[in-house]
Amino acid sequence: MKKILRMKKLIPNFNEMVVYHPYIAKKARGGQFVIVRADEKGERIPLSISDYNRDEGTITIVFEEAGVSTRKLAMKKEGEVLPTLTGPLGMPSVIEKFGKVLLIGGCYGIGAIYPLEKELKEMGNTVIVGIEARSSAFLFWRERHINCADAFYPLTRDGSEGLRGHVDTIIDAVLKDFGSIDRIFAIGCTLMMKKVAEKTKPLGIKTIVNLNPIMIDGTGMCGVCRVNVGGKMKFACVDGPDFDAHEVDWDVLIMRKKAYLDEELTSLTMMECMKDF
Amino acid sequence: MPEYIRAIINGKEVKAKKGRTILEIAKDEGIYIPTLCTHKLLSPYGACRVCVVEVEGVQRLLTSCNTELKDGMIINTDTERVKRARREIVEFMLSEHPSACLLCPYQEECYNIQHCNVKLGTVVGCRFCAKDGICELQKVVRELEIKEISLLSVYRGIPPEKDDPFFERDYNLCILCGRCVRVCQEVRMTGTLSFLKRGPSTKVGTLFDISHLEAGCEFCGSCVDVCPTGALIERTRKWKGVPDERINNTCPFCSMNCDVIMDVKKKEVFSVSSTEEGLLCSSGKFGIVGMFLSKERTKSPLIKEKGEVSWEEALSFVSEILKSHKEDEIGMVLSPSLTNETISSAISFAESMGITKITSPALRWEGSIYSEILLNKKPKISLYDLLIVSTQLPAPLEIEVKHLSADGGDVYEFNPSETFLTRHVNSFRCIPEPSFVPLMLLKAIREKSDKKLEIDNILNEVDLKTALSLCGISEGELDELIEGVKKAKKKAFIYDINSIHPFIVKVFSEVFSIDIIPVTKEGNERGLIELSHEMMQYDKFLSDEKIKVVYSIGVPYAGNGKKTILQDPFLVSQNGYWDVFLPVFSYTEENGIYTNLWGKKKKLTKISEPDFGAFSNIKIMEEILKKLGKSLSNKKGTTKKKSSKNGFSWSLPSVKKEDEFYIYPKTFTNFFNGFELHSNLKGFKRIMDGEGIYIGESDAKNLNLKDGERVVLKIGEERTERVLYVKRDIKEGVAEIVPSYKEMKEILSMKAKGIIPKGKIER
Amino acid sequence: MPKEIKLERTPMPKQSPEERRKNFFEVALGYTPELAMEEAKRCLQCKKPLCVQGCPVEISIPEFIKHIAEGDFDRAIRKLKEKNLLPAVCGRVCPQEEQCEKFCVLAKKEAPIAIGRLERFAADWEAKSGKIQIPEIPSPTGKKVAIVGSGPAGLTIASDLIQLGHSVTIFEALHAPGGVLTYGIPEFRLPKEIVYREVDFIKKLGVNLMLDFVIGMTATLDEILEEFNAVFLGTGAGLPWFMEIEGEHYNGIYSANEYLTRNNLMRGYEFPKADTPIKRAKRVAVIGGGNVAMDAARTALRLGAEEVRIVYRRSRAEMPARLEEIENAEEEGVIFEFLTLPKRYIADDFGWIKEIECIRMKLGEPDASGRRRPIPVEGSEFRIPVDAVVVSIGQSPNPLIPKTTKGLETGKWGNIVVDPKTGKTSKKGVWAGGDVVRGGATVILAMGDARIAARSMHQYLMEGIW
Repeated sequence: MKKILRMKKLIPNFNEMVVYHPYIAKKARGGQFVIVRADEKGERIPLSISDYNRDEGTITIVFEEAGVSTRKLAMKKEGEVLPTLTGPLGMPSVIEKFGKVLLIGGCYGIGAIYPLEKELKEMGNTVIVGIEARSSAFLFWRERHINCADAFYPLTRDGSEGLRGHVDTIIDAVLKDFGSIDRIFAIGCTLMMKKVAEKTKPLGIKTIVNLNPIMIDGTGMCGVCRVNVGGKMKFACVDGPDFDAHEVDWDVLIMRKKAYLDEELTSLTMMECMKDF
Repeated sequence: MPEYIRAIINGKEVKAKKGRTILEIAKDEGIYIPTLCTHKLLSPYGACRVCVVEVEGVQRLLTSCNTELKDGMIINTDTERVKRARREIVEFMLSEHPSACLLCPYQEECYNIQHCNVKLGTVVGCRFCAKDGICELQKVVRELEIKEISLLSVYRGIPPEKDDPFFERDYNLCILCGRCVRVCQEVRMTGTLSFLKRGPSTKVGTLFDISHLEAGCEFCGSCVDVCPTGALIERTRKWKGVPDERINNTCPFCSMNCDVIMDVKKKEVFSVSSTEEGLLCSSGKFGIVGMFLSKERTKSPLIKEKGEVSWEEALSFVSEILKSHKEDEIGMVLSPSLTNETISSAISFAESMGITKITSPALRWEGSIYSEILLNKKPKISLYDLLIVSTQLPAPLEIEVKHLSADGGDVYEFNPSETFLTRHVNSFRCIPEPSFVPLMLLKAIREKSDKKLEIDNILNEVDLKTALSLCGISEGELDELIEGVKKAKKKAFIYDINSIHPFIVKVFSEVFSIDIIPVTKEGNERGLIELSHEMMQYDKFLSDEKIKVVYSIGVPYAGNGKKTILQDPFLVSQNGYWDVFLPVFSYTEENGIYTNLWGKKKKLTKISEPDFGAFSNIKIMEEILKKLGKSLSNKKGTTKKKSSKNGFSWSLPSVKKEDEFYIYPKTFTNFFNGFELHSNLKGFKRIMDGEGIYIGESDAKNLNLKDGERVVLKIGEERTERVLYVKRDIKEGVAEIVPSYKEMKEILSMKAKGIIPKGKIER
Repeated sequence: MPKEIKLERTPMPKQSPEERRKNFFEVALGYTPELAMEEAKRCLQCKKPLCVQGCPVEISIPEFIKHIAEGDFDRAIRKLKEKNLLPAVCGRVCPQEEQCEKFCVLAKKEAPIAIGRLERFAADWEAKSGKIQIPEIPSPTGKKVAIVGSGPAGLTIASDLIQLGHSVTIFEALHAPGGVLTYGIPEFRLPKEIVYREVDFIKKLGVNLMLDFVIGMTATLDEILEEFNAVFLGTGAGLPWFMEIEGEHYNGIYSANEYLTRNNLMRGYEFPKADTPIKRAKRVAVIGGGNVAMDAARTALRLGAEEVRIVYRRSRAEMPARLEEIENAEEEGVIFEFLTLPKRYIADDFGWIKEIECIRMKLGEPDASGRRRPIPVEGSEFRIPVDAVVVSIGQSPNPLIPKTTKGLETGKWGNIVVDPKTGKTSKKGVWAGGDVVRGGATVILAMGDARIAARSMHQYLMEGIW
């Protein structure tokens, strides 16, 4: 168990890891995450589940090398066993027959929306998928999305592929083509999710975002992942990670994510500059 | 009489000296033209084409950086055509550079979450790049007000190179301005970097894409200093963002004391760059930061066998030792990395204590002798026709000599093994001992003339035939050299100040009418020499049996088995060579003055204090005096003692035995007090190989040793383990090492006695 | 002939406060054999010992003390282990002054026998001697038991049941066993080495330990019941309480769980050698007065804080923390702000806690728990400058399992309801004990519950009657 079956580099900074864990694979649902440690002295970090195969007992995790732990993870090879892999944690996304559902994924979200896509499709929704990145070279998993969704809208900041602009462009394009949207799920970097929320609030489209604050245990024990939603304190690991985008206090989330920036940079400096000093 | 030309730029008449470029003159006139590939230290290139201007009568737009302003030209730098052209040119660059951030509508807001982006490994946009905010491409984009890129963006997907020491290369960000290639080929003349392939596949790199280590890169960091984008960055620059302060300072590692600019964030130095006036070497560029980041500081005073003690206890212990010994039983050893203030205070301290025995490993002779040959102005190397070089040169001098040779000057190099200079010179000879050079030349002349020379007694001991054969030079070649020297109008002899007695050099200078350029090695060696009039020769100090206590400021291993008080910012050896250790301020932790090789005073700037209770060297001396009921005397050690030629004794370096090797220490800029770049910093170990010992093929065969074998080097009383490597161009009988402190101790003490450092290699 | 009664407890060697503020080593250094025997000889060996009634696991206290007095440490530890399998832990963390030592005859003379220190001595002696005995396991019963949580309750019941021949599997959500012993109690009170030693012992007995397994998420309780004959829930009180006052989301405000977990479980004090960071704040305020608050305050000191305050709304007499820990904290220089309550938090421009606005309290009439209720004093607001706050006002049981299990009855604050005589819950085949039942309580009470549940479970497994 917890053995890495495949480690693949997708695009600069992003990797795809397939791990054998029949318990997690049996239970995993879209919107959930796992807690991983890369080595015995490592930190516990949350990573979204991007796919699961109940028959084979495997889960797929798309992660970005955003710090020491993920860099250590990226260096692991097939056959290695992860010291910690706990899950599936968090409330699974609420999947019902909503009608026309738009899923927007950016960064690791391009992977994390995939299980939602599959589940929504099974429920009989019209599934529209938008993935965004800075340039065409930084999009991945196109095949998976094209094969699953009813419509596919890639977006790049520089227009090198698909639509050109930022997430609001996707929403406009989809509204133009489909007339209306019944629900939006957005997973990706905090700024992207915030922009989606700002766009859809005046339009009155219910938007669910999957928040990514700092976590330690992931089971609701420590409270470090607390976020302000609708003026109340919620724990992202047990009350979320899905929340109503229009209720989330984005400023507090962004501020809390910076809490350990100095230490994170110290660790990174130690890790990368160690070969020199 | 300089010729002047007249022209019109943007409707304004200008008058300028003939032969200057449009860009230069526009700058003088206060007319701004954006540029990317120009640089103060580099010749104009015309690669980026951002500086194009309209010249009436010429159909094409011309690059102002390399077009001479001719008489009567009418130039417009700001027309719509020019502006459009510049934008298009930059758009081309941006289409192959991850530029999405520049176009994003949420750029400003993104700074709030930049802390997430900046940690990613590969740069895919400005917010991820270590040079965000200080990138020259960003500056030009802003100035040209580019808001859109009409071309298709392509990310080339070249894997970033992160394995070489100290700096990383991401050629996806390269705009092919060619500055790095030019600085490496034209200025430093090292030739590690060049343009590879052609057309749209052009990229910058090493031949066959081998690593910089393999390509013979010196890691001087000049390419990193001149790169306008984030393509070449110092590893320590990552994740720091825009510096809080850019502080001017002086490099402490060798007597050149180059000016540096330190990028500081939260009182921590994270990157060191050269000023626009000159370039650095690896020690200045990367060693300073490494030393600063070295967290291996011993934070509390130590007493042997007791461990950590309080300052009170340590100072009392030291005072006791000093009190309980006679004045002539105590000796002081000063490091040539100490500031002028510290050295002066040490002299005052000695005076107050009645101590007369002060020395430094840098004093091969009595302090007063050096003033005979030190220069007081920086010489212009380019004005010479002929140079004889018999020492390893610091980078700035080396560059000048390389250029002289390339411009047609005659350069003769005599060194125990190849240096970075060797492939640029006319003639290179491997000799074991630099002092042979003037001696052989003088002896050859002396044999043919009757004129008495002051150093005849020494010349009589020189057997020319033996010396020539040791150096691998024929008599004919020697005569040729002498002819060359006589014929040359301006000539100079560059050598290590401690390798040949000043009087010999003076005679050499007079007989051949040749300028003398002595080179000191350590950071403040000249400053120390200038204050050393009352100091004794190192070798006399070492052989003085009366000395029982050694008070060493900044010189580890100075104790030589005697009771030692060691004051140093770094503790080299946990186990040996000291009885009391007192931690002091390091570089950037206190202000001070150094005197550089040419006599100029250079300022060392304090940036921050250490996070533990270190004292300054001066304070410790004051506290010791306080405990003994004394205070620092006013003597500052500046009285000059007249140097006497009587009692001038100098013995020829002795020849080695069959089974010995001449040990050639390949080190120039490695030490700062107790800090050794090549032992304490892994990156330097990689580029300088502190572990190897290099010998020639025939020697390896004779000793039956193979490349890569582990051997033991016995030098003086020290035995160290090293890995043997066989190198092609090392003279027989010579072994090359980058010595550690232990070996340096033996080498210096041999040199002080006038012995060529020798050692044995065993399995 | 009346034995001469020595009315002075043999003092425990301790690190000095100046020393121990800087390190994470154990504060109390433990008795030497000579000191232990000296203390043990003080025991009057009462015919009707009153101390035993104070012990939740009914250790034969006078007997083991007698063995120590005679120098037969081996028999002492074996006597202890008949009833208590974690003596090294209990000797260190039990509030003996509220339990066995409270009832000691000599307590009236303020010199009760130092039972806890003697227990610790015996346990440490056994570990040092290296002769840890593995008891004989009877033949397998064929019954499979699942224990959820490897804290004190889980470890106790696991070792009880394995010695009765059942097959035992412990499911632990974190990546290291021990529960609150590992993440909650700091190194300087309970070295982790001891916890891991005890866990190792249990594994040697044959207990199967599955880490990183969250019952309720990785597998539900119902799914576990399909595979196992009986389940014990010892999931503890892992839901931190916040005061829900203004500004609680600012950076630098921790729940005690987070602060202690970062430090104890993730070894934050070794940063950057270990990856998980913890802020080494200079001025820390710890809100609360229990053991957890003392732990948090003393941890903050060791992380280099210059000023650590305990902010407690009642007075010293009402503080629920163990007396020794309060005294240790006072010696180490923790400042106590009694009768003070935080009203709101104030941050700087970057969202970091800067000050707490507090209000003074006075004690009024007793409330339901019997302690006098604190009442705010009008107009007494004042501010304390801080750069970190640790909210240690209590925990409630982790709601994960009740949320994901059908038919499991819970009380009004999320605790699982059990029959106090057997530990049975409202769901067939499921027992519970420890903090998940009691809310934040003590290690020894959890062990007591586990013992009761073990007996009941064993009966059910052998007889099949619920």
